[in-house]
Amino acid sequence: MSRPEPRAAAPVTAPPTAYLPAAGTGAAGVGGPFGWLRRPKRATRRGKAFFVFGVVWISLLVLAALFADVIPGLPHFSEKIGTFAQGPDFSSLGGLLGTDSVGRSNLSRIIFGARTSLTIAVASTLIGLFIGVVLGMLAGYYRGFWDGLGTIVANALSALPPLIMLLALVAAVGASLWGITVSLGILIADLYIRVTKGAVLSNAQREYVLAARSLGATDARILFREILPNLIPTLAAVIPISMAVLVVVEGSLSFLGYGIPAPNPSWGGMIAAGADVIRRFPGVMVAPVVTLFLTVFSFNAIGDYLGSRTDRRDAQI
Amino acid sequence: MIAVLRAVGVRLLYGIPVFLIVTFGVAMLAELMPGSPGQAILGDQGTPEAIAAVNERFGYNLPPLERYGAWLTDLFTQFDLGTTLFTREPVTDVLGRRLVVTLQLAGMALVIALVIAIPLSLVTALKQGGWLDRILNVVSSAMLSIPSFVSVVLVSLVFTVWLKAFPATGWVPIAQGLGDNLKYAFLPALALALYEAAFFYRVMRSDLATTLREDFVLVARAKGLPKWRTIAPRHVLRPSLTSLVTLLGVAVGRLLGGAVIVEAFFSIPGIGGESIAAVSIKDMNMLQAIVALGVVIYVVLFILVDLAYAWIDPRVSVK
Amino acid sequence: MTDENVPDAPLLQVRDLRCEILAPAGTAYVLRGVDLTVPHGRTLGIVGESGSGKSMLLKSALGLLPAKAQVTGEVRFDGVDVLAMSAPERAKFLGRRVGVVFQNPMTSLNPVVPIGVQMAEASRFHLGLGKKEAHALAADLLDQVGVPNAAKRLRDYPHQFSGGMRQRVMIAMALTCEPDLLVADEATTALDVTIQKQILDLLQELQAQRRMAMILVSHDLSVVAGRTDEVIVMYAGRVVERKPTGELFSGETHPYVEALSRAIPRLDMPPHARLSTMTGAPPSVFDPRPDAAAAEREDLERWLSAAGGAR
Repeated sequence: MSRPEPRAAAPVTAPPTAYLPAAGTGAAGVGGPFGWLRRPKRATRRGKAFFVFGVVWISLLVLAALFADVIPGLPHFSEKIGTFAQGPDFSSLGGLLGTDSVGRSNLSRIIFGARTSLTIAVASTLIGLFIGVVLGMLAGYYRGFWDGLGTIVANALSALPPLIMLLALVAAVGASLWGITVSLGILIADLYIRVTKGAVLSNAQREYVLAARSLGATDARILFREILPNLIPTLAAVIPISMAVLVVVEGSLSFLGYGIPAPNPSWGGMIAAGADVIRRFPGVMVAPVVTLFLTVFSFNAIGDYLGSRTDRRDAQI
Repeated sequence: MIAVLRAVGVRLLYGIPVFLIVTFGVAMLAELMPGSPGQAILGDQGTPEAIAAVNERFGYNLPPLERYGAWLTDLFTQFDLGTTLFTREPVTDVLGRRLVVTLQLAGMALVIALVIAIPLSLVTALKQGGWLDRILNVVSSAMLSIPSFVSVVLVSLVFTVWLKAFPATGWVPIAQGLGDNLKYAFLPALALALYEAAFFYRVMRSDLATTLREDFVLVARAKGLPKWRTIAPRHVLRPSLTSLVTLLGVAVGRLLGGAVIVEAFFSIPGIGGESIAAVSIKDMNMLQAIVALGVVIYVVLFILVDLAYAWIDPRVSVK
Repeated sequence: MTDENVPDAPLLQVRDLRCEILAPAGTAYVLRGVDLTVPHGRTLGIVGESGSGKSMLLKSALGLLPAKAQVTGEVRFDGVDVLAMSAPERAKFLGRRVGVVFQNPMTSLNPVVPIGVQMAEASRFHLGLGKKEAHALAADLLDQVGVPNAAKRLRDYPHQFSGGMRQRVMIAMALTCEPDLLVADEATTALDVTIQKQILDLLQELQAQRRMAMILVSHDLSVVAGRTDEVIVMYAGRVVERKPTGELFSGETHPYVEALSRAIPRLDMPPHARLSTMTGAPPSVFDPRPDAAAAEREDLERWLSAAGGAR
């Protein structure tokens, strides 16, 4: 059956909000691979506001996570700073967001938890990016065998219910940062394979590729110097979205108790603990939930904005 | 008809390498597990002989590749997926039971999501820029950023703790009474539906808005046809069904695979709940079966979606 | 093209029609005060280049623009002030009495609905016909427009028809409720030249049979030349010339019309002859052009610049 081009490019894994731009934009026009940032596009003003917010939030989070150890006045995440389930206490840094059900500083646990979430998200994205882009480029450029392989791998990966796969992994080898990161990386590679292949497909026919080839450029050179730069806009929109997905999946895993083990705090774990006491102390859950929400929302907003600037709604795989 | 069967056949064939790769991968994953089934069951009290005996029953004494081969053969010849680790129930029985439950949840969630999303997206697409449009845009965006484990807690908070209208956890099978069953099924279905509704809403809103710009909609308006009775269903919604089918395919896949959190939280005896249980006792047999089931569902879904495209859009022919 | 037994009052009368659309880039002055009249049973031709406002004129007059387009002026159809009506009322009123054939037959039909259903829609809604009767009427109309095997083809989908056939279907569709006015908006632009003639001939024939008034819109003077009673020429959102067709080129020809006609290649031109073109571009749609006299001078200058080239 010839599949008609669905006008909506349906995202292929969990929560991406944007249409995944399945084809990249050409480099022709304003300045090189980043010229697309300067060209005016269709992003709405509100989309831009969310984008800016997202960038600010993520930056703050990253900074806090990086320098968590040296933030003056921030208690360690395992340190009891007061009685349990206290509300916000503005007199000390640790008490800003209140305490959890054991009396530890919510703020501190959130910041240290951000380390886990962000590290896993970034590392997995890098792994997935690497695998996905390589396979996607090969599939899109050479077609034939590589196309078949890439498609089968992508399909196999997307057939795996991510959480169940992770659980299987945890059952087998226990939860380790390394194990979780690699598995998530492999799972998210599916997204990158599809997106890259689509972008490469639409780019490989372009004149500048033919021109380069006629000048005797080797395939490798073409791939790296011509095509890869043109993938950047597309990937730039997808990367934040995959980060959002990964933060959620990691959160789900720790919510179930199978994430990175204690004593390291994790947002999912905090939410689970909060859920336990929700009847009596509904406030405990607020901090991690809001943080998680803002983080996922920020990544989505960033991805949406970047995606709307490179919007190409035709050309499916 | 022949064409349809052949198209289905081709796709099934196409699904086989995927199935093999995935199940093989999981089987090899099980290799990484320290210890053996015998040790898991008998623990410290087991003598080496007893442990070996248990292992032999699980086929654990064979090298991994052979074990996988045996598993495959058993599956395809006798439809046997082995037994669970501790209770020694046939896996197929357990899966069958649990699949029904998960399917019910997924179905209910889909219905709720569609009922919410489709009419709203139609309304806002037909009246773009209005207050409803703007509010829903922000709300749906926000809802997409709420992971399922947060929505379960929120839903629970609102309906169980504050409103005291629905039970916190548990499940009553349909056989024991539809009313009770729905009472227990509602909250988990709602928790699942929240995300899907937001997702459907956004994509459909955009697609419907695009369809509205088509020439044939202008023609229908020039003919003076009523906006809501005729133009909306026939000339706006109907051509956008292809997108909806794509969405449904993605959503069903996601619902069936991702109901883990919801099922765990609400103690629903579905596939997701089973996978949690299997993890906690390290029943790799069960997990392998669940993953295999997941792949099968995926392939079947893939086929159904393609068939749906051909059915909906007369321009798409069954190859 | 002419008929003696018609009432004197015009069928369609448009007075000072203006259309402004608020766009991100500013206010677009799409129509800057257009007057036109179509008597019963007569044919009006509307000519103009792309962007002159021809299509917008139709859409404004028929109330087919979205609410954010501000349309002012008076449009009277058979004496009734159409712009004063509410949108649903207007749709019901005009949908029955005006039939429109649009430009692109490839996209004017809903691809997922069978032809028969699309054709039956209008008669079922406006005339209250039942499903069977509506389909019978549709088959009859398809026959009249020259689609072979009409009854069977009602079940087909648009993609199963060629472009020319689809346009015939559109025409049949427009005739469903026996409209008093048939509007063909660039109806032949997207078709091959040979098909063009067929379609235009068909339109004329149908008009004569049914004593309809007709409006032919085109950017192509030649399409309009032999087939209309009166021609109005549009430029930059207003009417710059209005004449009975026969008199368009007799006497003093309007400079814009002159420029347009010079751009048409003719068989008796020497090979490689240069076609004459106007310099510059039409005024921007965002330019409010408050000074009428200055605007006229500017336009005149541009039209007269179409010198050179063979004649």
